[in-house]
Amino acid sequence: MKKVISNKIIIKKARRRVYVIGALCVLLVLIAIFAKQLSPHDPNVTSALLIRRPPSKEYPFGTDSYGRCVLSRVLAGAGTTIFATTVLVAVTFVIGTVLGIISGYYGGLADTLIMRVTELFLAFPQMVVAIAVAGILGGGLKAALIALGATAWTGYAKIARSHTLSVKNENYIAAAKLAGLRGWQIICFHILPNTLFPLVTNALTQIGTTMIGISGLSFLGLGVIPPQAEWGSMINESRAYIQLAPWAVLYPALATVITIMFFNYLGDAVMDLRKAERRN
Amino acid sequence: MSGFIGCCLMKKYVIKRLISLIPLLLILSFFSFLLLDMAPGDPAEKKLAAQGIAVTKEVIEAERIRMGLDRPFLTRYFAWLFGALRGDLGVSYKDGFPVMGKLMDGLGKTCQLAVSSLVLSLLISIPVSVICAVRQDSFFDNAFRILSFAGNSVPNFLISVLLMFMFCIRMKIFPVIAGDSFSGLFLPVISLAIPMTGRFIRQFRAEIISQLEQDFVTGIRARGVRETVVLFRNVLYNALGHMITIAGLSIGTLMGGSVVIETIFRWSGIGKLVMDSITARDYPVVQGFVLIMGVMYLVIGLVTDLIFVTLDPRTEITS
Repeated sequence: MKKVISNKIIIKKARRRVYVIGALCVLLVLIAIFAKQLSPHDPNVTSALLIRRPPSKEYPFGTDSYGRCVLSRVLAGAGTTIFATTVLVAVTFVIGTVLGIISGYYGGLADTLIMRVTELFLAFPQMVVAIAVAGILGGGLKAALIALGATAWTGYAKIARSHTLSVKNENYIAAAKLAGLRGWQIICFHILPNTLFPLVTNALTQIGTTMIGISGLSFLGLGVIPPQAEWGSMINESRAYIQLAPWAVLYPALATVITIMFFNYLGDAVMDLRKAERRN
Repeated sequence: MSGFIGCCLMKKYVIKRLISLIPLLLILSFFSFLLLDMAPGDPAEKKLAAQGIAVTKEVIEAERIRMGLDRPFLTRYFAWLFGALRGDLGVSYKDGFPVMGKLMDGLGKTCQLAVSSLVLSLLISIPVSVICAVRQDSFFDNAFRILSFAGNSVPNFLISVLLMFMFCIRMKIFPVIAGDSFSGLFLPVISLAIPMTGRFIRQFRAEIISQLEQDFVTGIRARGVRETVVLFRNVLYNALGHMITIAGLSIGTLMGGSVVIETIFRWSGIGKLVMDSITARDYPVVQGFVLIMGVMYLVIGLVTDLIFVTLDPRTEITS
């Protein structure tokens, strides 16, 4: 009896945690969407008169060595990073889920083929391939996203497949088959809803990793092409004069760490909630 | 008798895994070769540009024939593959030195960095995660959960820039350019180790806790076996296979991370070499880098799998 009650409290607490951190993440996304309206200056306007000014009322985060407003660039960078991450996570999520469910539901040759390809992509070191591909394609955000996405879908495929296999033999699927539903209908209305939660949880935990990957490639000069603002490339640009203008490094660094921590925490919170609910 | 059967199964498993490595190696080599063709522009032109030679049409044409670019794609691939099997990965566009030699020069220094940071991470994360798992929700556990979460959330380039700022520029304890000195090794190793330690503590802790919650642990405890014996002989032994797999998988991240860290600290390993080569458009070096890293990753994956099966023979026999 005691255990049941305590588990209910745990679920309640875990749910509250998800709401709080979820709201904070939504706030970050809103900031990224309205970056243009929020930034006090144009992030790309340079000025020879305003080089490396310390933080002031006019420029709350100071200026960089081109006289650009660091706050405006951090805000613009939020747009770049969050937009790129969302696109990458969403696309790999859809591709991985579709392949995983097909593989699990139909089995046979399709299963063997898809799983072989998945293993193949997992067999190579992701970041090494990403650096080489982005480097040889000549940089740019698109190349970086392709390079990172090439391996990112495999995780979803594996999870989708294993969950499909576990619900495939349930009675309600057999009932749906007897009722004459087609394969795609069963997948869309019965299998997908039952595998979605673990997949979304996985997607949430991937956001932080993806952000680290994108900013890492940009830091190396293989992601976003300057002057487009991105936190990794801003840190790389301004680390050369970190003694003269530490603010130009510290604020984008802070933004990176806070954003990644928020999204990682969201992933953890949702995972804990799922664990608590499953134990019930 | 069962030992004999186990030995046979093991042998069979090793052979099976070695055979399964062959198609992966072939695809890896094909992909590496394809990288050169993926690069925009004509290789002969890029080679001449990398050497700073003025390009006319005749010069490019002569260079194309000399490089064998007039031959069909598959012919070139197999020629390159057989060269690679003999340790010949072609020559650098920039200075004409063999790619293999260049990579081997850097590999030692990169291994120095990677092995040091892996060992440091394991030395910290194994005892910490054991204490965290045994004393769940204690102050120690909570403190390290926060720390490992933070470590896992900070990109390694950020850690190294901040460490450099604090220790090299503000306090002047370590040299800014790592050079080859021992003190130069310190900051790059820490930068690589912090995110890895954070990840290890989280994963090891979860693995040990899941072992502690197993029914057989309760059974052994009920028979009155001492807690330390349970912990070391049963729980940790069972978790060891997973821990080695986790450590083996982290090698991929480590290889990517070393490119970033070596570039920042000017550490003359294979990672800095590949970044310099990307900047100079010296693509054969990049190609060789992918091939060598891929082969190493595959071999390490195989070795960790074999260790896993040796520690826990059930995995292969049951599946």
